[in-house]
Amino acid sequence: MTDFSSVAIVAKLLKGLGGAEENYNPIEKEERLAAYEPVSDYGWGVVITQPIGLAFIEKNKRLKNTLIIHSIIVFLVVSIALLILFSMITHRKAEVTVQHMAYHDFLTGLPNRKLFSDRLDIALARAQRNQKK
Amino acid sequence: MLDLDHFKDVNDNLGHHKGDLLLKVAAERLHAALRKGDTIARFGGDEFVLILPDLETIEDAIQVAQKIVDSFCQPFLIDTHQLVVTTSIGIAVYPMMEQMMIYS
Repeated sequence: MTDFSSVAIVAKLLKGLGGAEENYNPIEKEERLAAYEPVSDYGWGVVITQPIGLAFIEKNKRLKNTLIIHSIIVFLVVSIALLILFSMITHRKAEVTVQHMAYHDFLTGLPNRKLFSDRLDIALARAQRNQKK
Repeated sequence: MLDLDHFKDVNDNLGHHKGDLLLKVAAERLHAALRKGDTIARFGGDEFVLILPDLETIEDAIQVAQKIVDSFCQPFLIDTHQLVVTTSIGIAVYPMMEQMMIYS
């Protein structure tokens, strides 16, 4: 007969404590997840053990799936945001180009008749204001 | 207001491409003659218009016109052609309603 009282969870059982923890299992000779519960006053208890890898296999699988889904969502959101940003920049650039074309002479790059007309109005108005002072 | 004298001859004799090149270089020279706050625009063809706000006296406008005429003293080098181009400038001053002409 082997004396298991030196094993930590057995010692706890004997003290009347219950719980769950990882510990070295001397029978299986490996780290296991153990749940233990004392049985009333008889000085004995129940210990159920499970290999650690097996205990977390479902949880790890779920975690992995969640991680993949989250990665896909983040990727999609970032892609869409970049796409919107890019199209906004392109649109703004086109706007600036069209604006410039509308008010400048394509050959010399100088202001055209339309921009001249605007600037002349401003200059005349200002001259009139300054005269009145 | 300003135009290039006999610009049509350049177009007719050397072709529109050379004419366009001349307009480009002329535009650069005109632009260089301006002060800060002045506007130069291409009115169409070989016509350019300038707005010179903040003139102290009419002489200031004449000075700018003289600067432009001077900048046209150097012949224009268009491809292999050396073109001597002169310009005619008319000045209108508001609110004095006075007009005068400068011939180069």
